[in-house]
Amino acid sequence: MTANEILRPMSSSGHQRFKTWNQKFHIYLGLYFLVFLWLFAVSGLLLNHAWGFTDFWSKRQQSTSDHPIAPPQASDDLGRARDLMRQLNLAGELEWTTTQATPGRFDFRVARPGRTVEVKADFTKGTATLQEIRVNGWGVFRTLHTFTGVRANDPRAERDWSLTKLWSLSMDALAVGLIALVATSAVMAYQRREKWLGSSIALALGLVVCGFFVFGLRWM
Amino acid sequence: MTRFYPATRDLHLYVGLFLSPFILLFAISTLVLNHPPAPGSGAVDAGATPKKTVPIEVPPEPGTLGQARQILDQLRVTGEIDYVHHNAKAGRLTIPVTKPGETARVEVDLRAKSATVERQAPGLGAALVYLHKMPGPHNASVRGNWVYMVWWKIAADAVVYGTLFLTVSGLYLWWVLRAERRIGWALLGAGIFSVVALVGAIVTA
Repeated sequence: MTANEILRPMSSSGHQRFKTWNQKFHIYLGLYFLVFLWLFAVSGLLLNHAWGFTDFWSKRQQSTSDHPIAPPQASDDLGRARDLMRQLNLAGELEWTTTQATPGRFDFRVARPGRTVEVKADFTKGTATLQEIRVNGWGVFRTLHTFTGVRANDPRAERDWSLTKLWSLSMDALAVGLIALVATSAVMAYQRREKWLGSSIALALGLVVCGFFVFGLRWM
Repeated sequence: MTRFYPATRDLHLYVGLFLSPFILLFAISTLVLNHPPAPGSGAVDAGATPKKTVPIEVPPEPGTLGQARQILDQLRVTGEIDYVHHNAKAGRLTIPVTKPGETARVEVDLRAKSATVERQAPGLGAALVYLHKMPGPHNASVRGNWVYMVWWKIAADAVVYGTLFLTVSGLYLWWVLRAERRIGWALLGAGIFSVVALVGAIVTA
């Protein structure tokens, strides 16, 4: 069978249509998610290795500046932070760094890959101090891998920036896409009867090795 | 081409099948990380066992990984040591230990020569998330203090390189199918555009 005959419909049966479209779906999903997958695969590799050439923290740029502000009118913390972000022309994901215990003071952080700004507002003086940290492309690349806007065990961390929501949605889409790629590949492996032995060995090996780490390590 | 194509197709199949459980692990844990269960929902703090205090022999060099590992050996606690916190003033050590499916917190009273062990079994979701995040960039100087974590690091790297092979071989297998080139280019372009536009918007906002 030549390469171009593989996708050519050989009959009009439902089985053949399913086989053809399963393979097409596998190819189409793989092509659409190719760059997403490269991004997360390579950034995952960087997160696991402290390679010197990817160092970004020691090369970070820091600056501090003071800005006049008007006291926000909102009654809740989220509303006040958004009002200040608008006044200070800041965009990003809101992070709560402290409990707001001191009257007249209001602190929070605005973060996005590549830039983090600590905002320390003093309503009695009508000023906000911004401490900004900028990192290079390697820092951006690594942060994109973990930029979800939420954290386990932190109920205050919620996605409040539209781009964080969109980015986390794309992470979900990639995860679901990968599950679909695995499912379609299992169907294709099943259909290639002449390769069942090799396919079974490869799948069994993968299950044993992966299963060892997921289920076996607790007994070691 | 006549020999290269079938060989690549077979290799794509076998490598893909071998990696498929790992790919499912990373995909499912991504969904869990992206939608973490609320604290107190039971999914986070399930499976705690009662604290148990036992006498121990205190090895020298307080606060080191070596001493912590010797204490854990006495307590029959295994896993990756997250970090070792030595409070010299109070004469205490805190050693959190984790492995997929189990976390343990060991509190050592160096003066009383006793240790308290608290174990939790947070479930399959937590095990997948732990493996997804390990070894990771945090506490890199102590990471890999349990031999199985070193093995996992090698496995995780192999999954990445294997996935890169799958994408490159997949590109070749697609390119050979002339009938799929036009729609393939469109989808590849759409994927590239989606990533570039989204990352560009996030970084320049």
